[in-house]
Amino acid sequence: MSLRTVLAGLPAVLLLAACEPTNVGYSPDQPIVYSHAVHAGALKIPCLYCHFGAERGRYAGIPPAQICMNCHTQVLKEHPEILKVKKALAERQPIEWVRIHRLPDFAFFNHSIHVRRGVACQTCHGEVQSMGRVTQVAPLTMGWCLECHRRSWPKAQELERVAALNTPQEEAAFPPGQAPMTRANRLTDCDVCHH
Amino acid sequence: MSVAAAYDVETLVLGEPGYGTVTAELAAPMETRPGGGWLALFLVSLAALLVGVALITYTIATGIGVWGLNRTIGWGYDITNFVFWVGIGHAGTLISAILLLFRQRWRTSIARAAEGMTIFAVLCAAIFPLIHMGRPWLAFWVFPYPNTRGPISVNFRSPLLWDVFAISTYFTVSLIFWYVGMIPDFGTMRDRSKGLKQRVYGFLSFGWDGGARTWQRYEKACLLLAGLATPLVVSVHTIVSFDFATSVIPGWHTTIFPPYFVAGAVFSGFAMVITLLLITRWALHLERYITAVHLDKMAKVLLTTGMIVGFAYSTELFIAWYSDNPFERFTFLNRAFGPYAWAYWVMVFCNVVTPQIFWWKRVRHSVPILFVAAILVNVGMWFERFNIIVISLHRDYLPSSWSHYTPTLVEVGILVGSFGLFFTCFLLFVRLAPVIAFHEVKHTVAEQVEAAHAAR
Amino acid sequence: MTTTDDSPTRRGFLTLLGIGGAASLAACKRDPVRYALPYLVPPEEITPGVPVKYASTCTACPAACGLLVTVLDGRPVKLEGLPSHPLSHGGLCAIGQADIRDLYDSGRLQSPTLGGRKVSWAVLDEEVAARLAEIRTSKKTLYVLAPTLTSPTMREAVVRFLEPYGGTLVEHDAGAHRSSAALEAAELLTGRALLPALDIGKADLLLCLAADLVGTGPEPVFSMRALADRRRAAAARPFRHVQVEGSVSLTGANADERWPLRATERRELALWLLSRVAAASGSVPGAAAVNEALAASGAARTPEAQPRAEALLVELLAARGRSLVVSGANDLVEQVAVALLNSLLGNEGTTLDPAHPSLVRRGLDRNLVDFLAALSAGTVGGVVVLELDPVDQLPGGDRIADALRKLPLSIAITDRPTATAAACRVVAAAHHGLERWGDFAPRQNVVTLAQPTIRPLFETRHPGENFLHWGGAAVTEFRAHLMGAWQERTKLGLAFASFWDGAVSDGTAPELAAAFAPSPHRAGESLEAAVRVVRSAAPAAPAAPADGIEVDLIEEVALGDGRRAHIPWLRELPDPLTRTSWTPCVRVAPERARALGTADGDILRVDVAGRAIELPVRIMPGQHPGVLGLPVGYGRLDGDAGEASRNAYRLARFEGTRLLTGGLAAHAVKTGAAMSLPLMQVESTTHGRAIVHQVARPDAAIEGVEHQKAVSLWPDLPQSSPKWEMVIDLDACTGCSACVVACQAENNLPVVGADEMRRNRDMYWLRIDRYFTGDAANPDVLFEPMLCQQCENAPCETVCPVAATVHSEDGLNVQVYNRCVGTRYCANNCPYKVRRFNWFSHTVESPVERLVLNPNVVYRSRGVMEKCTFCVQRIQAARIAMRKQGHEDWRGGDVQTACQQTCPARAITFGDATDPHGEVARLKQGPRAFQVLAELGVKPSVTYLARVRNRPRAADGSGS
Repeated sequence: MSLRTVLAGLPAVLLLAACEPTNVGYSPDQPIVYSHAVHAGALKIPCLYCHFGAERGRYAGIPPAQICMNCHTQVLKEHPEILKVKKALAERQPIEWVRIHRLPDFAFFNHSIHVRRGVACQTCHGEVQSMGRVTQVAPLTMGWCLECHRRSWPKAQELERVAALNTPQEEAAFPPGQAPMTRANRLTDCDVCHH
Repeated sequence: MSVAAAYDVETLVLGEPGYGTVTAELAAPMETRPGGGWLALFLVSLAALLVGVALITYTIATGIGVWGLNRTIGWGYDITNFVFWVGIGHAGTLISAILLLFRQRWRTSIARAAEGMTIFAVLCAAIFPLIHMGRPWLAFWVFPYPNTRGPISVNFRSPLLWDVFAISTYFTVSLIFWYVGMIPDFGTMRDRSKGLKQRVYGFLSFGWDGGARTWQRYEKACLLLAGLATPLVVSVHTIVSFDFATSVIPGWHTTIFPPYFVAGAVFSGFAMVITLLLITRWALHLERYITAVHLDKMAKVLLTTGMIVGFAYSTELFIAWYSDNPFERFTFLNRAFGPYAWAYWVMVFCNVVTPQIFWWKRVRHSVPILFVAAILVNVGMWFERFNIIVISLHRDYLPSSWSHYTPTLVEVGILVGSFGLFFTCFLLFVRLAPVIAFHEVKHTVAEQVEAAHAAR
Repeated sequence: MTTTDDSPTRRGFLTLLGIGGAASLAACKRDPVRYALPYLVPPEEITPGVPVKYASTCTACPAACGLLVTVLDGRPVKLEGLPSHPLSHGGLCAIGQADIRDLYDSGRLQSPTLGGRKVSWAVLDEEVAARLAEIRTSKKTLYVLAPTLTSPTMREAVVRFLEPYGGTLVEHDAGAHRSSAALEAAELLTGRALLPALDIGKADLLLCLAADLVGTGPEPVFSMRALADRRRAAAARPFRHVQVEGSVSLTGANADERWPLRATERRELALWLLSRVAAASGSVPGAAAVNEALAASGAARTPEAQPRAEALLVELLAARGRSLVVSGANDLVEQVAVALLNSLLGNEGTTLDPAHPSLVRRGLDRNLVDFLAALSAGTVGGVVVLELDPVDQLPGGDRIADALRKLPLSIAITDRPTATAAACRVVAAAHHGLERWGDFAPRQNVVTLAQPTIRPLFETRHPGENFLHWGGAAVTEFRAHLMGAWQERTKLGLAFASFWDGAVSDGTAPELAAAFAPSPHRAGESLEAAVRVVRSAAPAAPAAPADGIEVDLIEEVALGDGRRAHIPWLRELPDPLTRTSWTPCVRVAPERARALGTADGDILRVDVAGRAIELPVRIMPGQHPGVLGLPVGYGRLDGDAGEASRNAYRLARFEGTRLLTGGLAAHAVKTGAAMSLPLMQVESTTHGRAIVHQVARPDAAIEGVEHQKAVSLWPDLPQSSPKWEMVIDLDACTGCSACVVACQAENNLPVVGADEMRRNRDMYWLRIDRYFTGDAANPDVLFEPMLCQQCENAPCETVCPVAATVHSEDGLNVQVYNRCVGTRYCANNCPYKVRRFNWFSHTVESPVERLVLNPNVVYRSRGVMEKCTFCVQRIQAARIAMRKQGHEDWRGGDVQTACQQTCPARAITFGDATDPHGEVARLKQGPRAFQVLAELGVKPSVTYLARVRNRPRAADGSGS
């Protein structure tokens, strides 16, 4: 009898648990075929060079077309994809990138503090430097955030640690899931992200 | 068996009907076409139910703002109705479980109806906590279930959460109790009917074979369930009362609430049983089985619980004065003499004065008086909850926030709708299931005959 | 049957079922594709999501307080006071706070119009040029009608523009408070029609004759700060504030003593005091002359309440040189009397500073009267109305409108469609203040700058540029013009450019003030003239018989003169005194209400010299029984859907060269109609509950709160730092409600409208409770800002079934909107009733108006509970800032809540209570400290400091 009740309860639990699906594996086509594998991987361009917003404020930001042209006025000037960027600049038409990593608007996530405390980009975005086309690897659910925020971490490293970030494919400041954080920081309070 | 006992037993069923007659008479509602009385009642209830459904839809689509609540008074009709219906839901299990354990024979012809009433009342009650939420579509968050949010747990310190468990448990047990009780009669119906009807009753009768062993197990099951249900009768309204008792609002924050609420629940429950049975008795011509004795005993219960409730009211007042707490004192003065004084005095009249007439046997036996009194008691008990909830809230600690509450038509309509649901269910029940337990009545008749012989 | 044989298959089946369900759910909930549009070229100093703060100056009124504008992603989202501002010291009033809502108002003019048709600026300028040419040839004159121009450069531009036409600039201060007579009195005594600056800080006795300094006076923010600072210093140097007025003002509500008198009685009192003071100060020059003059006029009659007057006189004489007498009357005799009083008492140069006068009031009624005369005489060729609305704000507005329509050239420069704009042919749509460059000189020794913080949203133009264009100036771009002007004044030459950048980013610079030379003033030179006025003073005939009614036009702190009456934040803001919202009410004394047989909400018909308006009654204890207070600013075309029947300006009257707004003889009748008032607060008294306190001396302890020591059976929560707490000084708080609007702006509080207010469904996280205590006829008024007390043992937290409100380790009571299911149990269980429920969806429809929302605070959805968070978004921002610096143990840095930041009186202190050297910890130790409902043991994190009422003797029976 008891076993039956357990079994009967199972699907219900599964259904409920599945109520919030994640976007893991989301990997849409982008208006411009851009390879992080080439830029961050092969060419070792620091993440923060293009996503400079990440260490300044809340949003990492998608790079302005201007940034591309910093190099591409010199290299691969005639590459069809680059021509698209040039066209956009010429026509003052912003490029419509498809957004992949998205949090609900009631969750306030600030990139800069995570970057400054030495959390590797890969911790949340995966091994982007080896992605030809970006795919969401982390569920970005609250539970997933708390996995880090709940742990008790060693004392934070100095800010120089950030430098390590600028070399993505070497050992980043902290391998995924080992960012520095002390319990004293009390960062599991609801109001840290919800206000 | 003593003569007194014999007398007592005898009148539980008028005359000495044979088993066949009993079955025939009791099964009649399920076998004959509905009469005009029943039909009329049913249509009215159904209409009321539809009104309720429409208004609830409107509320959920537009927002709680369509009710009369405000920043000061967060609960009004919604929770009043909730507590009211939960209260009604008490008598059923009390009668069937506790009276069974105490071997009260007179329960036989009323127990089934009372149990049915319980189920429907709890259904009505359950609606209100759901629709009173600002975001009812997220109501499932009150259940602890694995989630991707941490997981976030529910707050086990919240009396509202205790309600969720208390009421769902109570509902489940009552439902099982009710159903198990009906199995033998479903068996009888299966044997009496044919075609689809037979298949349905057959399924419901759970393969009842009427064998001695089956009967013996059945009796044991009932007894066990009764034992299981008994504590629940007390627990449910105790926990409902915690919603208020554990708060800090004067008029809510009081330790007397658990017994006070349980007594009130039994009080209102019995009043509702009387109302229903008198209607059923008339609509289905069951005068033979629901006799003066039943009415007499139920009236006595009303008298008793009514006085307990009255005592509770006076205790509240005394403690408010005795506490020397200015807020507490004001709250109770405000109840009796404030803007809502009329509601308070309606309550006192209905719940404390009305039952006093049952000191007289003639009154206890008079159907019309009993009917009116029962309805008055129900009104009074509804107001009791209204007074506790609204009057306490509308003038609490800081005068700057004092406010007034007037219900909107929407709220009134939803209350009407809940009655619609209740009566629709009950009326269907009396035509589709045995509203009086065949086998128990037969048992009673048997005893009666035996007692009669012994008396000669 | 046994479970062993069939359970495996069953389990398998169920598992499949479950997964199937999960899969199907997952499939149906995939989000729609979202796009992200990055900048092509990143603009300077804008990092998405990172706020930038710019110093500027508020243009909501001529007082010109300093602004610190928070700009996020290129748009201003919040206004704050500029701490370094020499006058406002970081404070900002309710109207100033709401100015940002005005910027994004969808009702703004979006392009210039000509005869009602949208036109390009080129066309408009052509038209104007043509008309101007005609005027130049004709004999007619040109007028510019403007409010007091605090901006030197603007003023200059207007004057230059008028020169070739021999035109005149007429400055007129709209509103109920007329400063004209005061200006003329100052002119008589100092030779300049400028109000001397008040230095309340030096005063030990402040005597206000119907002057609403802190509420709606000329410089409320400045006065509030000064008064609060003075009260704070009262422990060392006792301070008294006596208010004599007919209609209760915010200043009166905050006074140590209120004395209700009619206008005529006040005039008498002033003259009587003058005569007695003159008599008592023989040696002082001029005293004798004054004495003789008064004797001649016989105007200085002894007031009825002589003992009280005598007492006041004694106090005044005791505080020679340390007293300050101010009058708000628009009556030359009274103003001169007050001016003489001050000089005889030796207050000039101490509590009054004539050397650096205030420049925020320049409107002389005589000029206005001349202009109107010329207008009706038909000698006017053209009129430019600059950001004024005479048609709606002056008596006989209709006639003005007709006159304007007949004119060959009538120009309205405004950012909104006003009644005047409707009458003018040319409407030059103006930038909003936050889109403008500008300079401001509220004092002769203070100059501040304003810089635009957003690109003009619409096809509008800087008001000044109009004059540059039409005056044919070489430089028509206002910024360039402004810089040019200051380059001249400062004579900095090449160094100017760098200096200018610094000045702009600071909002001000000493060099500017230095370059703005004060014109000389000759003190006491023409005492004779003043004395002559006194001599001519006839014994004033009372406007109304002793038992009759007279009307005082008043201003509400939310609306002021009504120029911002269209801003929903201000319309909904409950008046601190009447607690009404959205509705203008006649303020009637209880006694008079009884006589009229009216209760709150009964419509009263008030008739002044044949012009009548009908408004609901609001019974106002403290009001003089013979005086009705009528708020102006309502019933105006741009403010109140033009419900002219509510426009109290129509009751004002021109008398000689004076525009009378007070002491107007009237009679009132009950119409029989009634309305239900949208009241924020229904109960007016504390019902004897110890929830708010006032004491007689700054160092006196509060009585009768011993029983409030709460005892707990439970161990306290583990103390962790920081622990955020707030202290509110009720002695400083004036009830001005700036904090309420600041909170609304910072936290995206919705506006619910009059009907919802009637249902007591306001959405304010911070409200200012108002209680009357003592004498029912003339009670003490106590203001008590009430917000979430962030209780340590919060009753709301235990009852939420889904844990949507929980305690943070910083001692905050956190409300998680996205977890809330809306049972409202928490609100029921809140002893302070500070929680607010979203009864409906409050989505902002207009895309422009949506720009005002603070992106760092969630906009709550329908069915969700919300409440004050101690501005947790600011706390988190500060935490991030600190931790980015690598600090582990952070003490919170300098977190300021929105309400605290804007408070002109600095009544609110906020910080980490665990910091032993912190301000909060210090103030909590004070004798006046108390917590509301402490006896409940909920351990609130907000501490209040009791109000001080310095009443040496039982002045008027009312005590604490």
